[in-house]
Amino acid sequence: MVSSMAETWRRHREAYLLLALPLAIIVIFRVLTVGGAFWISVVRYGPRGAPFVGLANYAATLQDDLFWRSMFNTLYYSVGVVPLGIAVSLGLSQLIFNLGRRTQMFYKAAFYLPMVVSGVVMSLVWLWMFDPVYGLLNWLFQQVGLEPLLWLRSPKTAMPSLILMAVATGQGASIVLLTASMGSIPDPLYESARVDGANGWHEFRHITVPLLRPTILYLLIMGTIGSFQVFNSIYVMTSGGPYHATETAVYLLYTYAFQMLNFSRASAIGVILAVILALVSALQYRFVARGSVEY
Amino acid sequence: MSKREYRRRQFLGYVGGLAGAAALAACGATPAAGPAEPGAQERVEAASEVTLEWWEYPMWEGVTGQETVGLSQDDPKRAEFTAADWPNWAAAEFAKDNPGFSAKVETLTWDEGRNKLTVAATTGAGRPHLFLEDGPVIIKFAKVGAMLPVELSAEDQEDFFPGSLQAGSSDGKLWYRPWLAGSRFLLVNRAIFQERGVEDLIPTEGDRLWDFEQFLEAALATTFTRDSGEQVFGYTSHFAHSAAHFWVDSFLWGYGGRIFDETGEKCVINSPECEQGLQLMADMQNKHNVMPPGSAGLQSTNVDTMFYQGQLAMMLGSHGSSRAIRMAKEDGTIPNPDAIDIYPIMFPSKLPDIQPSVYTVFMGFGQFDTGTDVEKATAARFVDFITNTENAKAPLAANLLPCRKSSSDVFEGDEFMLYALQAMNFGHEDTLSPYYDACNRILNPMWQAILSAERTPKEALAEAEERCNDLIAEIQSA
Amino acid sequence: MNDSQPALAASRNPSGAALEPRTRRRGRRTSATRVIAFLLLTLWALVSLFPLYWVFVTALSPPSVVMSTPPRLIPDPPTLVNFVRLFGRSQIFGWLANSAIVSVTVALSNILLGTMAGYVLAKKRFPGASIAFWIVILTMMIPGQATLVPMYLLVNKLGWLDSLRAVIVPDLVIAFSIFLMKQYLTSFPTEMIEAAKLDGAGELRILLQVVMPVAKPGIAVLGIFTFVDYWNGFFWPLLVLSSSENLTIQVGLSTLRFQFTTDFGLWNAGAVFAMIPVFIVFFSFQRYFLRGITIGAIKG
Repeated sequence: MVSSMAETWRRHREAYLLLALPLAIIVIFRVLTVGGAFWISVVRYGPRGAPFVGLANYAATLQDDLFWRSMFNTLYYSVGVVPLGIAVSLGLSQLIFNLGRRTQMFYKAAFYLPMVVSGVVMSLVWLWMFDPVYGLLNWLFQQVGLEPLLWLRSPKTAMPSLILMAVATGQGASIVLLTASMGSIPDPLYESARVDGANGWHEFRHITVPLLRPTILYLLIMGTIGSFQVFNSIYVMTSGGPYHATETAVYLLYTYAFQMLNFSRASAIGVILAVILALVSALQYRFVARGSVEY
Repeated sequence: MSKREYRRRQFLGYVGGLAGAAALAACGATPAAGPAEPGAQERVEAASEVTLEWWEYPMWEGVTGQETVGLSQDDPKRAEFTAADWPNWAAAEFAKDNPGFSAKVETLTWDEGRNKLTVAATTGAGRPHLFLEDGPVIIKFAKVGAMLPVELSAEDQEDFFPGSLQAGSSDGKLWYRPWLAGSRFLLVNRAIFQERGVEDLIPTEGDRLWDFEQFLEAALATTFTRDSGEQVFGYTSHFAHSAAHFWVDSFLWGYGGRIFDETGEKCVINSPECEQGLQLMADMQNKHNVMPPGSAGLQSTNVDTMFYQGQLAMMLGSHGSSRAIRMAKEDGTIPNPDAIDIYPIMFPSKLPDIQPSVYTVFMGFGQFDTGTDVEKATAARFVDFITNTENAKAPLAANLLPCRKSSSDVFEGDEFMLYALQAMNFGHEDTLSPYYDACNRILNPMWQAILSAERTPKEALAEAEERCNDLIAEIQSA
Repeated sequence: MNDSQPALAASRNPSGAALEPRTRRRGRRTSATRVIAFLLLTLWALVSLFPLYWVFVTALSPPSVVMSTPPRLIPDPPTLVNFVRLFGRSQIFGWLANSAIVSVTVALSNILLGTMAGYVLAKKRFPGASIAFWIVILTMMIPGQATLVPMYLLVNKLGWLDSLRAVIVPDLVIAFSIFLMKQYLTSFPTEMIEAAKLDGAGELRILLQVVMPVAKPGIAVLGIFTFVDYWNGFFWPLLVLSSSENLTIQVGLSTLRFQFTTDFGLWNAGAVFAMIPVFIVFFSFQRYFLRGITIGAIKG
């Protein structure tokens, strides 16, 4: 046993050594703090001691209507932002990809650059664009004869508005990635398809999209993680309202921690969210990754 | 009426007490006997080196706040003054009698400072020795055991407004030294009333009281479309942040409704009186259309912008409004200074049966349970010093109201601030309930639901009362 | 601690020569569809760039114009007054320096350590490899707000409160970087590694002299992502930094706001000024960055 471990060490020494430092940092600062979050979720946390309460925080969370509402909102946001975002960035990438190299670079920069603006600034601009009376969007609506909307100011349209903003401005990174992957698809595939009489849509549908599957899967998983944990835009733009319409799980967690000083309930929400997120990611991996490689 | 008298006593003491206070303050101003000047033997005790950490929100620039008046925004001299000037000055003053004393002043941010304090309070790590916060927030920190209680001398006990002491007390102890107070009321842009020729609709007599019918009439008269196509609205205030209670509660109280019973421990909001107030609010939005569409999602910056642009006739006002408007005019944020002419008035109520009530807030210096015994003792004396009669006048630099009767003579000739001080008399005991803050987390979304017609006032109130009482029970059991 | 970036990562280039994908015109397009494509892209680009533009406009506008509705889309008259005020009244250069220290350190360290771990996980088969990988992945699942308190306590235990170390060290390498580089380097041509090995190079040398030079696009992507992320970081630096000389730019700017006033002009001047370094970094590396990187293997 010992000798086989020694043997393993000898054979893979360099791999272990290279991995040691990064992994140590992850373990110390991430695994440890995730463990800490879990511990806080099974005690009643406070500065003067933390009595063990078992699963009471979880039980209370699961009985909380607002928690389920927030989970629904989180799913609503994710289901809106992720697939729509991927569809939009696929479409835009396809359009960009057919352009000359210079123009391509220009559009990619145009789509990516806004991501360097801090989220707060971006949210403030969109707050104005969404303003029902003085904002840009309703002005545009009126120009083309559409009924103005209340956007963020009605429980019915607040979440769709947030989704719209995320989809409209959040595709820069995806586009950079997708166009690069499109460039890796060998030409002969398209040439032979053309010989078979395929049109542009067929090429896109039957060659481009399937071959981009690893990239799409990556976008899907990272996008899901990001959208499940959405916080900044809600914090700045709606504070979870109106009438809980945009109260997502992480925003609820935040209010428990910082408005009610109940860090234990907040941690329980965080742990439940992490478990659900891990399950969703595993499912995505299973269903989208089939047939694709290297995952 | 006797109840109203009682309430006034709760918050400010007799109105007569205020006038008498001026004389007292004059005494306090003489350098010989400042009331909270540290005693001689305490001075000896503090001879060792003590550095206190002090977290402070940015309130005003310069020591007196007057240094920047008249300096234009692009004047390089402006940069010499920061929000840390007064705290540093106060620390230096205290050090004169306490050799070895110094304070390390850190400026918090208004947006996130409270979160920072919360983490320090809850984890026990990285706590400053003293900080300034709202009474209810400090009580929350005290409930998790993060605070040191405060002892008041008999004179101080008398001198602080009763409301300010109640707002920082729980479990029979006081958890901060009150320093400043704030009130809320209605802020009218008289220029729009003049534009419509309806200036006579604004109450100007006495406490400037009016009833709901008069208020609605004023809002209807000032909702119109200018020739340019620009839309002007009669009234609105922000809902999106968890601070709609600053004004919604006045609608409930104005019809005689209450959020909590006399003990402050039971929510009794589901009453016909509260329903009337909320129904008026809903009608203003959805029937009379005097509020901009979708007020349920308005943020305070949206409201300010509308007001500054002359697109809003009435909004929520506070002690800070006149300064904010003056600064906005100075730095040009208000494009047309002539189009804004502010005048404070009371929230409406069901006169003559029911007097109006307004939201009030008290802030004070709290001491975290941190540091050595010497540091704790020094911090206690330092907090005494910065809240003494003279120093309690400092916040007027930012148009904040003092919490001491003996410091209340500072607004002589400033009509706006005198009205803001007067409005403190209309404070409501609901705001002193230990559960006021927690319940607002439930109530605010309900107001949003009513405004967006997702719930009728009746439905919302039934649901709100049940959930508030559940929450109170949960907090009590923890 | 940072919002997860929607992000990128990697592939085996069929040619095996390098990881740089090619661009190519493909498809037969009528001029009509071409015009529509151009219009659509341009419209979308305008929507996308508008917030950026607006920030510049307001920063260059006198305060009165900033809040006017309908907003003026051209600074009229353009003025530098907001910048004068910004420089006059703050330790902005100190804050910039702090942000630079944080962002550059975190970005460089993530490039190095992320590539190191990503390379090992992508190219080496050894016992424990998949466990290590899944540990990394699972730490991404818990929202940062939930680990805030444990992280704060840990940083306090280490005595790092009110020190830039509290912002830098925990994020010297983050799961995202390892994941990105692992996916990207999976397609790195194994033959090149084998060839270097035959020449007697050790793994570290292979990593530094063979892998990293070829992996420049991936490194540029990772570097820009982390740099931007930490440059704009707000919540965590705010919690752990207190002294004004220790603040990062975003936190420092937020202390300039007084209650009851929102000085958009000053604020946007700060935002514009804070963006300049990010632009410099972006345009320095855009040659690699915008070319992008491919993820996973595309089988011809």
